[in-house]
Formats: sequence, structure tokens, C-alpha cells
Amino acid sequence: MTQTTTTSADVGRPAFTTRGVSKAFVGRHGNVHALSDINLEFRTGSFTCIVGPSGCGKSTLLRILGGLETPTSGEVTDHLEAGAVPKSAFVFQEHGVFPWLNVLQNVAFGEHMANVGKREREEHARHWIAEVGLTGFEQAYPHQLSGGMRQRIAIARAFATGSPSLLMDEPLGALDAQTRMLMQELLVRLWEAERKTVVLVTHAIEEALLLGDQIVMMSARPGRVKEVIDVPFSRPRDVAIEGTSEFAQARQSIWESLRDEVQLSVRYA
Amino acid sequence: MTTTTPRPVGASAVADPNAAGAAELDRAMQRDFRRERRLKARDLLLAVLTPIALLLLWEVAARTGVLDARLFTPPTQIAQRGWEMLLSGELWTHTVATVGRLVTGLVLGSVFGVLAGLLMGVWRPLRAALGPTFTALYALPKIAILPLLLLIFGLTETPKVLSVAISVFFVVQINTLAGIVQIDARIIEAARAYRASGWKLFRYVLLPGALPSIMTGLRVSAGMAVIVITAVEFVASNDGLGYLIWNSWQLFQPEKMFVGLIAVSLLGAIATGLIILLEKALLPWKHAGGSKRKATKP
Repeated sequence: MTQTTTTSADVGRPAFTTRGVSKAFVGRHGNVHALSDINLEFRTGSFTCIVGPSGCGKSTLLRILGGLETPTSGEVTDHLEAGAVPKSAFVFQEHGVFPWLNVLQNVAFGEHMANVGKREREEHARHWIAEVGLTGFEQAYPHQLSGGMRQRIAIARAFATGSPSLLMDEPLGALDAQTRMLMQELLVRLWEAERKTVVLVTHAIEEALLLGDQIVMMSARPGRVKEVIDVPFSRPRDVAIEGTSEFAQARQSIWESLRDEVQLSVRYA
Repeated sequence: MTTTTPRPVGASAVADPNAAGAAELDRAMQRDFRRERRLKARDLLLAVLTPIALLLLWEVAARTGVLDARLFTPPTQIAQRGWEMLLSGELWTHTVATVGRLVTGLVLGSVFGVLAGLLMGVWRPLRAALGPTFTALYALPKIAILPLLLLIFGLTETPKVLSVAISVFFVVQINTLAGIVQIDARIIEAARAYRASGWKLFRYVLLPGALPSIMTGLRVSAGMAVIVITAVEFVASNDGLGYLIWNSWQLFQPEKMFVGLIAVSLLGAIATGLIILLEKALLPWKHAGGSKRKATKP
């Protein structure tokens, strides 16, 4: 998004830059060309949403940004300073919280792995547990909580780790519609207070419009950047913007751009 | 709310605001709770009454000659003989002998089984080297190597304990390895994303992830260990509960045999019960109550 103008004022230098990133998987069940020639720049303090049809490699791109996967060709540079903690903290769709750790231990996990002392990491964890509204559940285990509460653990953990960037892979994808709306509000509020660099993968256009500064639209497999658009809504935002006609127009134009790609991907599926 | 007439959907669904309505709702609630409690009490009663009824039936049948009392000693006589054997110390001696072998074999087998499983789980070359061999050996009926062990160690305690230990080892090793291998790849990925590695990855992710499977292995092997030690004592021992049962057959003393059978069953139940207690202590996250949704059967 080198040419992108962003809406938030404090965004500056690039956090991640990808140059000609491609990814192919070669496997027993056939080969998959997941990503092709991705050139993007994610700026510090920006909230970027990646939308695209299923199987377009958007999760792969996220994992490449976070170093969980290496590109087949091209390169990713990050310009983040993190010290002992990981540069990026992940939020996964499901199964990202450890069932054998209680809420406090789960939220403190990132700092625990980064050798932060017990008192300090638990203090941070308690702060973020309060921020996501789970105070009183510190000692509870994930299976005792609802799906929405488990995702709040995952979000609290990402923030509590203290990483400069957050990479979210459909963090709200498995939630019911009402819980999802509450969690979107929570994410907007937390991000507006913290202004970390966030990259969020979603298949929900509304979610991308509500949360993002810009939206990267990807084509069907192999995933390519089809279009990058700026979200026209000012911050602070809340879900009320979903009722405006501007929102409806934006959603419609994104959908029109994505529709062909989705149809292509459905043919593959 | 059986007393209120069903309200058509679409009509005002607001609850009756007056106090009489609230009291009625409360009464209905109490009624439902009482009924649920009654059902629970009934289930418990049925569970307890069935074995008592069967024992009674046995007693009556044996005494009236429907069952051959020489083969099926009436329960009261078995209890009497059991009490005598307890007082004379006979039962105690056999039980101590069996428990000693059982515990030693179980501890040895599980310690080495867990260690081998964990090492094979985290260190791929070891898994590649030992996995197929262990899987092949697992299929061997462990009791079949008793003669070999007797040949090597003579008629001592060693082959008896080793039979148990070897049987336990393979079950625990395979379950431990499976526990590590089967940890959800997404969980491992989340751990990697948060930079868990080395000892911490093992301590906070792999070990707790494998623990449920390890405990299953222990539970299964405890039951198996009781079978193996009984069989070993049938043929290669002069004491122990297995010997007691086998000897009672040879001397045609069915009531003694029944005492031995009951003692062995109790031993198996206690061993399994202790492991379940251990499991609850080690896996609080599996057993902690809460909104774990359980479907109740009618």
C-alpha cells in the first residue's frame, strides 16, 4: 500500500514490508499456489484488514508476516522493535488458548515465555483481563467459559504480551452474531487506546469496514492483492456507523469487487 | 409451568407482573427441583439395589438347591470364610504378596513408559528408531514371555514383577507417545507464535497436552497389571491371590476361590480408583466444574 493515504494521524514508518512474496505448498495431495507476488506496506499504528474468498492465502500471508511461515520467494521485512517479547502477537480463530492453563496463565503466557518475572507478568495479565471484562474469571479454565469469553482471553493475551504488532486470524469467525458485535466493539475500543499495528484477516466485509483503516482485498487462489482501499470513517468509531448509507455503499462496492473472486473460489471448493 | 395455559406466540410474551404470578412461578420451580431430586435418588437406589438383589437371589437359589451349593457357595458362607481367612492372617499374607508385586511392577513400568514415550515424542530420531519395534512388541501377549523370564531369573520375585512392569511399560509408552503426537497442531502453532521453545514448550504445552493420554494409559495398564499378576501367580508362585484362587481349584474349595476372586476384584477397583484420584489432582482443567455442557439422558 505504498500509495495509500491513511486516516490516522500518528501512523508513520512502515511496520512490515513485503516484496514479491509468493508461497507454494507442495504436498502429497497436490500442489497449492497460495500466494503470488504480494507487495504491501503495513504502516506502524495502522489497522489493516485483509478480506478475500476462502482459500485465497490470507491466513498464509498473516503467518508469513508473523514468521510462522517462510515465503517461497520474495521477502518480508519488519521494522519493529520488541526486545524480549515477540514482535507480533497472534490471535487465532479457535484453539489458540491452552485448555490446561487458567485465564491468568493463558493471558500471561507470552510474557512468561519471554522470561518476564511472575509478579510483573501477572500484573500485566490482570490489567488486560480487566480490559476485556474477564475480572473474576482469573482462575477459571477455558472449557468453563463461553466461546466469546475464550476469544477475549486470546485478545487479552495478545495485548498483554506487549508486542508492537498484533496479527489476528479471523479472531471472531467462530462466534455467534451478537457476541461478535460486542467483540468488535471491544476490539475498536482497545485498539483506539493502544494504536498498535494490527493486521486482521476476516471474511466479513462489515467487520473490515468497522475495524480497519484500510482494507486489502485479495483475489482467489493464487492470492494476489486485488485492491487496497482506505476506509472513509473517522475515529473513534462504534457499531452505529453500520447503519449509515456511506457504510452500505462501501460494503456494496467491496462486495462487487470480491464477488467474482468468491465465485472463482467456490468453483475450486 | 403446567398450570398456565400456553400463550400463543406473537401475543404479549411479557411475564405476569403481579406477585401472584411470581409466587406461582416459584412454586413451579420448586416442584421441578423436587422432581429432579426424586429422579436422582431413584437412580441411586436402583444402582445399589440391583447387586443386593442378585446376591439375595444367589443365596436363596443355593440354599434351595436350584444352584449347586458345592460350586456356588452361598454368599453368606463366602463372607464367613472370608472373615475367618482375614482373622487367621491367610488372606492378608496373600494380599500383601500380590500388592507388593503389583505396585513395584506398576511403578517401574509407568516410570519407564512415561519417560520413553516423552523422549520419543520430543526427539524424532528416537521415535524413528524405537517406534516400530515397540509397536511390534506391544502386540506380543506379555504373559507369553513369563517362561523366558523364569528361565533367566529362576523362580524368584524378579520374573513376576518384570512381567507386570513390561506389560505396563508398553501400554504407558504408547499412550504417552500418542498423547504428544496427537496434541492439536493449532495449539503447537499458538505456542510457537508466542515463542515457546525448549524446556518451557515441554513443561507448559507438550507435557500438559499429553497428560490426559498418559493418565488413560495408566488407568488401562492398572487393570491389565491385575490380570497379569493373577495369571503369573496361577502358575509361578506359592503365595499371592492368584495362587490362592488356583490352589482352591486344585483342592476343590470354591468358597476360598470366591474369597480370592473378590479380593482380586477389589484390588483392581482400588488400583483404578487411586489412578482416577491422581488424574483428578493432575488434570484440574478437565475436572473443574462450570458450564461444561452435559447432555442428560432421559
